[in-house]
Amino acid sequence: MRILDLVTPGQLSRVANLQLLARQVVEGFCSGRHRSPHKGYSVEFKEHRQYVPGDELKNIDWKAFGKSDRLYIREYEEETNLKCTLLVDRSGSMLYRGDRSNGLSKDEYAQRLSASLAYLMLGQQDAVGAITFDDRPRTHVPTRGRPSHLRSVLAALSGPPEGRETDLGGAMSKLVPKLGRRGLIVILSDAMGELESLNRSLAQIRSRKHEVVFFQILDPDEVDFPFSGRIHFEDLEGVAEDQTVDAVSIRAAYLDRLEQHSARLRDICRRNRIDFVSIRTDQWFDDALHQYVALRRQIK
Amino acid sequence: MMLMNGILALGALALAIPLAIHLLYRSRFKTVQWGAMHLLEPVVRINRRRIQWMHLLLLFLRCALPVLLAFCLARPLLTGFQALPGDAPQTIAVVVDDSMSMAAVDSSGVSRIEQAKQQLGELLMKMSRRDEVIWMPVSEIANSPSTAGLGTMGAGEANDRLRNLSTTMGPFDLASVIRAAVSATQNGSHPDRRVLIVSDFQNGNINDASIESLRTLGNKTAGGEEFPSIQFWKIGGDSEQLSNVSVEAIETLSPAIVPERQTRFAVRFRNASEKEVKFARVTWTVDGSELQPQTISIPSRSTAISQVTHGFKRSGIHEVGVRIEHPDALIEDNRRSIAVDVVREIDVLLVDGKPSAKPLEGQVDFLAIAMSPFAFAQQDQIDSVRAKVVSPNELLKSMDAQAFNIIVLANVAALDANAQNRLAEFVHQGGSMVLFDGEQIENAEYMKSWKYGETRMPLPAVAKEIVGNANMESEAVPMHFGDLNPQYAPWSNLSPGDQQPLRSVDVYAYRKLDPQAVMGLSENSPESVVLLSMSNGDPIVLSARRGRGRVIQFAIPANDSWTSLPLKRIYLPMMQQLALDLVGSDKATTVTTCQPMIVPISEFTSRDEAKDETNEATKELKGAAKVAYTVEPPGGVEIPLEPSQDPLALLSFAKTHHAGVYRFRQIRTLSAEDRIINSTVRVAEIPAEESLLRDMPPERLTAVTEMIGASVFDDLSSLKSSEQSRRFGREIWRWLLYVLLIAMILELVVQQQLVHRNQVSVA
Repeated sequence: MRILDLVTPGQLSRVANLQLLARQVVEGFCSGRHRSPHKGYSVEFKEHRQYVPGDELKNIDWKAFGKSDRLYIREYEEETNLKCTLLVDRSGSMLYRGDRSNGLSKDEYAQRLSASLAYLMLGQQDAVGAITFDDRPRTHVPTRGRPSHLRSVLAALSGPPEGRETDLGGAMSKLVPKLGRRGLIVILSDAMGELESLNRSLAQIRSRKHEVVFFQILDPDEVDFPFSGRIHFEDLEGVAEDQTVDAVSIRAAYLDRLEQHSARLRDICRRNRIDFVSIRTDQWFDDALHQYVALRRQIK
Repeated sequence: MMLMNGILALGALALAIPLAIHLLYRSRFKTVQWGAMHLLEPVVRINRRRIQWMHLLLLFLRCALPVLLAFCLARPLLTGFQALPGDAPQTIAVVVDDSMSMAAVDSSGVSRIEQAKQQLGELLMKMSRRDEVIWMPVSEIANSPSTAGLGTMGAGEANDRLRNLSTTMGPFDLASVIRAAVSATQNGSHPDRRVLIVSDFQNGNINDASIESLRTLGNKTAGGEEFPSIQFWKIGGDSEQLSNVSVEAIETLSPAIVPERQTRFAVRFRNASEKEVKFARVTWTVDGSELQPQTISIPSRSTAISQVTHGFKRSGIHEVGVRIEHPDALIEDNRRSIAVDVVREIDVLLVDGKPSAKPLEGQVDFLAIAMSPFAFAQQDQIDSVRAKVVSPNELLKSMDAQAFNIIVLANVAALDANAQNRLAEFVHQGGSMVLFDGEQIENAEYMKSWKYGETRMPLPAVAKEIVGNANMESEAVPMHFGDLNPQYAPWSNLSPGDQQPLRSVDVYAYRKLDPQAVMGLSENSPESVVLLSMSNGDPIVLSARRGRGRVIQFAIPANDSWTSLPLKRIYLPMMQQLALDLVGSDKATTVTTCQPMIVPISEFTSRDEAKDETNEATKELKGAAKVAYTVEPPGGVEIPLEPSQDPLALLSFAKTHHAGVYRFRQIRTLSAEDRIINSTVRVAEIPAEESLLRDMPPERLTAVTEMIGASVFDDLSSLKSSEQSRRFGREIWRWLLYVLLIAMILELVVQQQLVHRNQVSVA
């Protein structure tokens, strides 16, 4: 299937913009990172150990023997290809766009961030796939390591959101069978939903030996609630009842509630040994990727 | 309730502004497509009720602020506290304490009277023109309208009098003052009456009797009698912290003062401070001329005495003053004066009832020697007493020829009615008569009933039988005198160090005197005082005041026929002191301020003139002269006086409000250029108790106020506030202001809860 079969020309041009943007950002991080791309072999030296009878002679480090007159065995760390699956939340709540978010909604921000990550992963010779979801999985792009696979991933990400409600737990529980063998799962969501089911779903993912990174994407308005005066709040997901309130009078209570919610989410991630990264949409992509790369280094 | 600035209450309509803003605010809102409704919806659901209440509270407070402010400015009055219509004129009796303690200066350097003048003046100036004031300084309480019929005055005139007020009064009785003030208000022409007493309320102003008097007054109030509102305005209140040194008293240590004889004076200073006074300069003055200055040290909280000796050149009334130089809280009491009467040479007429040609055999021979010892010894020194001995037949002739101070009747057997009348009149006009006993008295009719015009002049005692052996037979056992009356000062120091100087005197006979029997003869006669008695208690010497003079009655003769007294050394000073006392004690030369001064016209007559009274030419000259009398108060202008028309011819002056020397003058105008001016002085002094600065105990003041329903105020503002409430109702703008401030603070707090706690801090 050609890419034009999936997206309109307008959408394609937006994808091209995304690719260009992702490349510009990712290249700065990849320079000199993979000097010798040997697929499937262990090339990364780990340590020396003393020779014991029974060891393969080919593994003896003769240079070390020449210097120290002792027999050492060179040990290497096994390296393998990374399968990265991007789980992108495309629910209605992701459509919020505040005044301070560089003109991007959380959904658009998630698109760009996931595209950048995909480009980065493919640039590292890793396999990338993508799954979008709201209250259920919507699109699924399997993991592939070909550079041309990027277009497929972008096409999945650039599809129009349906504005449905967020059901992280329910959607992910349905995704678990599709994730295949263990790999890296990157979740991009605002996590505006019920967290206990999410907890269970993440536990399922973790039980399958997947490594998970959770990017919580929030608009600055959602973080500090800057509204004043009487505000009529309309639910983007169309589920909750609209509320007309004096924004100032409930700000503290809202921030308390947000803090509790974020604390609970962080706690869930910590309990499941999931890396949690909270990103505001007024933050540039390179900052977000810096955080990601730093996190990956720690994981390694 | 009423509003003093009612128009400003319309400002309360400003409550519509926050109301309109609130409604406008509710109708306008902004729509936001919100993603995190998962978080917002439960927050709104949980806090909706609280937020609504907070908004309503905020709305209420914001509406209340302009309402409260408007009512504050409108000055509402709670008329429930109003006693009378607010614009009704009032009669106020202003009683100002002008006692000397009001001159005390506190740490601020301003005296209490000056504080009272300033603040009371301010109060008077703010009174309505229709209000009337009864001006009653404490020193003029006796002249208050209720008793003297004086009218009321406006506040302006009262203020003028206030400015001229000075502190000259001694201690006063608070109960009397309150009664006088309450009585004075009955003359007021307005139904709203009140008494304002401005004082420092010293402890000396009230005693148990005063409290009883006030309790009676309070009971009348409770009984429904019309009673003015009484207000106490307390000035000062720090008396215990003030240090004061005062001249407490000046005393003459001689019974009488005669010219050319040294007289000792003593002054007692009191140091009422905690600090010792060291080497303070003391200045004595006589008639304004300073004597040699002295220095004195007075320990803290004690007294010290200083003495001076001075001889007067001339007879008459002289002022003796003392001044101590020491800076303290009450400078006014650092000086004191007295007026002393320097008597002329005392003329004594000795009437010998049984004369004898033999020396010392007459009735008055010993007495004549005792009265004029220098003349008897033919020495150059001047005797203070000049004695003349006559027989009873020469009595009237001698009295016509010369004025005597004392007439002594010694064993006179009989006196005709004319002589009795003359002698009685002599005594009532201020002369002194001394009666000595003897065997001839037994049948003397005049001793039983002394004629005085149509009435009788009772003697100090009724003469009864002779006790003992009047013939002094050799086997007779002598009797002895008892103790001298210690209360009789002239004889209290006859023999210093000897408690019984008369124990060696043998008494063989004396006449039984019964002073009790006299009491039934005349109810108006003062009681007799026993000056000397026998060891068995029988009176020997009695004294009684009759009119302005005195009668001394002895139960023994003046010679040595019954006793050995005339043979004793003590006889001379005893008779001398008696004579000096009889002459020198009849004039009140020093009076307490506000007490009347009495000056007999005869006091202006000099000795020479008295002699010349017999001269016909002089009499004619006097008759032709026009005589006027004046008095010059201290620091004041001369005031003409009219002598009384009675035979005693007295000058009386009652307005002795100021302490100091009052000069009385007799001006005889013989012609346009020829005037003869005779003068004498009197001194008015403030009692020493006024120098004891002690505030009335608060519990006692409270008891007084409760008895009569009075109120106590410490300053002008509280007094004005109370009066405002009484007349107009209670102003509540202050309370409203407090409520306004509380509402403003509450509004800030609520707003803080609603807004500032939720303030956005956008990065």
